[in-house]
Amino acid sequence: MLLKLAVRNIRRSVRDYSLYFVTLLFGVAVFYAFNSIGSQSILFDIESQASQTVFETTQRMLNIFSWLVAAVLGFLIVYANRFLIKRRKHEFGIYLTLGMGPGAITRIVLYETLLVGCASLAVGLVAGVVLSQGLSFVTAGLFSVTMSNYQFVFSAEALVTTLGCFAIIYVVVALFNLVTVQRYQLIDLLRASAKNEKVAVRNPWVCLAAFVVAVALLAVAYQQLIESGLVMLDDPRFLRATVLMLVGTLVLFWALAGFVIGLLTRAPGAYLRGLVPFTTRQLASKVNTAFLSLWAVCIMLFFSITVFSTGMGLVEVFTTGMEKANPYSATLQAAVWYGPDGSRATSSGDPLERRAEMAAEAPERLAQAEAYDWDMAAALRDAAPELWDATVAQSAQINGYSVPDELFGPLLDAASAVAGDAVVANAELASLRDQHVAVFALSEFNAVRALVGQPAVELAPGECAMVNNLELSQATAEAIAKAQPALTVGGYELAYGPKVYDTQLEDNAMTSTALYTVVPDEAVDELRAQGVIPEIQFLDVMYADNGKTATQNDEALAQAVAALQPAAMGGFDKGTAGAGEPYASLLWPVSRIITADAMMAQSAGLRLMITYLAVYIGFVLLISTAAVLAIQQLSEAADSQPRYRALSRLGCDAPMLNRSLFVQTLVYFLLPLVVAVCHSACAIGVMADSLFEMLGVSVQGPILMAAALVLVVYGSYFALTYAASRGIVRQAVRQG
Amino acid sequence: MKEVASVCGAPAPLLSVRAIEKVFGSRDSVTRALAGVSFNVETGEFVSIMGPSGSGKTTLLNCVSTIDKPTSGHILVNGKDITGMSKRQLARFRREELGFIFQDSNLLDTLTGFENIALALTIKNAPSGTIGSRVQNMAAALGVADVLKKYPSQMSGGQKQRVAAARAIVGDPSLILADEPTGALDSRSAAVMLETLEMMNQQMGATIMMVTHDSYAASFSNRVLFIKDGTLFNEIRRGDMPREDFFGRILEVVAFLGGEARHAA
Repeated sequence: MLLKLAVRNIRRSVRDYSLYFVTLLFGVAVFYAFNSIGSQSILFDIESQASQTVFETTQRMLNIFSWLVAAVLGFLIVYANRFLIKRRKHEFGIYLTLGMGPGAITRIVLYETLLVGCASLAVGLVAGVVLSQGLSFVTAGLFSVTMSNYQFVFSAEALVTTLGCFAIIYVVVALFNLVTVQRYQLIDLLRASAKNEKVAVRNPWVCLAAFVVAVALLAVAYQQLIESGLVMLDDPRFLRATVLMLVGTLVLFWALAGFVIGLLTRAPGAYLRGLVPFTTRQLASKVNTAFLSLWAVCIMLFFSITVFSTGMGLVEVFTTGMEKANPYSATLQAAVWYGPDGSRATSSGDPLERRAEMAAEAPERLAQAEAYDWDMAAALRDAAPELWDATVAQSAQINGYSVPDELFGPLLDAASAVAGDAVVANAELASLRDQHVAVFALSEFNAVRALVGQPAVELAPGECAMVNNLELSQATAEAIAKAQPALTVGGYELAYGPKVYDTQLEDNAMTSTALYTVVPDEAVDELRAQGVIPEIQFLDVMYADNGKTATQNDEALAQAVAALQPAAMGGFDKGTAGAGEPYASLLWPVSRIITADAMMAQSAGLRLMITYLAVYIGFVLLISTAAVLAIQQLSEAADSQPRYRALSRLGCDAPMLNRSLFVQTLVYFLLPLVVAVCHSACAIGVMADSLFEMLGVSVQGPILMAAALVLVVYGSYFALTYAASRGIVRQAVRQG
Repeated sequence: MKEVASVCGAPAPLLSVRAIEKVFGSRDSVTRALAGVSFNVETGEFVSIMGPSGSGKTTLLNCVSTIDKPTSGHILVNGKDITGMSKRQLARFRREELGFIFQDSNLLDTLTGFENIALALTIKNAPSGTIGSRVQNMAAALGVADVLKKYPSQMSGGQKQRVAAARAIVGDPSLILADEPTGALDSRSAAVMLETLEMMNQQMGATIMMVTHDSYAASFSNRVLFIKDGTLFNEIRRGDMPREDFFGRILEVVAFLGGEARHAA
């Protein structure tokens, strides 16, 4: 009996429920789909361990963020339920007067919650399974692999996670409802329909003051954010900006309506027109009573937009220029001698002392290097000749040297003299000032260029040249080439030529050649005669056309290196390679192996992970906020039915009422969005300047994508809300 | 003052209700709420419509106010037949020609008193420069100037009704329709409200048609129409009679009506 009543109630309030139900459904579907990414790996021929790890990492990250998503959806469900329950006070009052016990009402509410919950879970899971099939094609695209044999993928793990999460949420909701219903008093329930909703009115002068304060707070927040550059999240300025932004936004929403009314009523020409007073007052009372949830919605929108567009911006980083950054089959790097803190300097700062330091701390390595005259390929080939020859077809080595007595400072000064301070303003560049200029020999440079099919470079007598392809320092390199300052290398007086060469010297996550100088061979010979040893070496290799896959060749190369320097071999810990890298402890001949294949897999993995995280979080936040606004706006329309009826009697026709309703819905949806967009614009702008510019990525594309996402999702909720509330008003007028 | 539209040269009444019938329900159970009612209201009149519950007086008011449509018959206002108008035309007719006063005042609770009164002007797109003074003047005339800045929830019942009266008359409509305007008021506020209506009729020249079941309220009007079981039952005019005497006449008719009703039962 009670169950039947519950079912009937739901059917009757479909109007209230439908948007909420659709949102729940989306939430469940997306939750399942993103939690099932891990099990899609069976669809792909994954050869390398790296790719497998990428899948696992992605899944782990998505799982972590699923907690956040579950919290957001939980908030939405609890909020929406409380809202829907509150609107039914009168109905509960009638049940009570008819002699139904409070227990029975509680049970009705429980049944309703469970029914809606189970239905949305079931439908959402089906939608999620379908969605996850579609996602596997997207995964294939992002991962740049072809799906060899498509099959239906079902993830039991994701199913259990989804069921568990939503079961917990529904239990919490049910408890909430229980408490709410049991606290009701009969008299309040019956009076609920005749309630004279108290209009929240605020003193316009207080509102004006608060509005000014809010704007000031936000201005300071923006300024702090811009100053912090949003690079380090533990920067106190960033923290201050966050707190100020949160407080400022709250005060803004608290004061906004009163402020706008205060302005409008002082401009009767604009205010006393058609339904303008009605529309304004409706909005103002809504904003005044719901300023807290508008605030929450605004913050969530801000996160949604920022996460999505910066995420997509990061994806760009891993998408664009990956081919250009990895032109070689592999790069063997020898970080010969780095300072104790990993910086490119000797502990005393003098390149001439580098050899003595190495001789003191790593005599065997120095002896080995000098025995081979620093030729990495010769040393490696000696250790495993057959394997080396079978694997490597061509190789070229670049040796980078620090020039004694030549610092970057004067070069940067020369650059800013011709192109302004902007080209040296960056903090990264400023830290370069005290470092020695890094050079390499022309013949080595040309050998590397030959590997990637670039024509040989010729230097006029007494000329040196900039080599750069790092976006961050490109303008600086060009300015130096334009200023043509002098440089003394090994006693040779050189001057920079007008050209900047953009050769990538190594395989890397990005185009990474930063302000190198190519000098005539004799200058380098003289440097070495003075006792300067190489500081960093790149041995770029191209694999032989031996019929093996890239992964097999990577392994062969690793074995060739291991033949010379077994992993167990002792060394010391001053290499630059990260922990876990097999040759991290060795300085020469190889401290790190970078293969194009692994680099590509890694970047594809990051691309996959970040894309999914951005879409997942962005989408869930977006639908949740839109759903909250939709529920509020629909219930507002329902509560306002008597007002629309009165207006209709006074002679307002349907187009007039619809216009007012349209404006109300539009403004209510736009208000938090506009504020959120301002915040996002500031945050993304700061990141674009500090982070993305350095990485050489434009954020325009991602911003357009974010805008499109917001437009489609948010816009759909707006359109549906408007259509539904128009129905509510039409019904009110017809009941006349 | 309102111009009386002329039809074929003869002065037409402001409101002409001609043989209207209203039938509710389906084929199986038919209720005839109005069974052929005809009467005229001239410009400047204050007419009361009285009748027991279920007599059809509210249906009649709904038909005249264009909220409901009669099943047959015609209603002419200023010579224009409103029974054949489209929804948009009706809405326009309501905001141009009619003023309403409801039992529950029907003020918009989100708007101040000033804005409630001004609404009747703004929806007609009256020039916004004149609205302020028109509202102020009307509120002063009706004794509600001091609640213009208040919201309906901050006003007394009588104040709300007088604000509603101001809203009804501020747009200078041809006809003001009042539905039990004193129904929710205590006797003192009711007296003030009725004096206000009388003043609107006598000094501002408003034509008022009021539905009421209260004989005292009806005694403020010039003419009382009694309606019973969907038909016009009786009609009395005040003429030069003092209000107290007119009140007595009304009570007689009401007593007769009630007596007959008991006989019928």
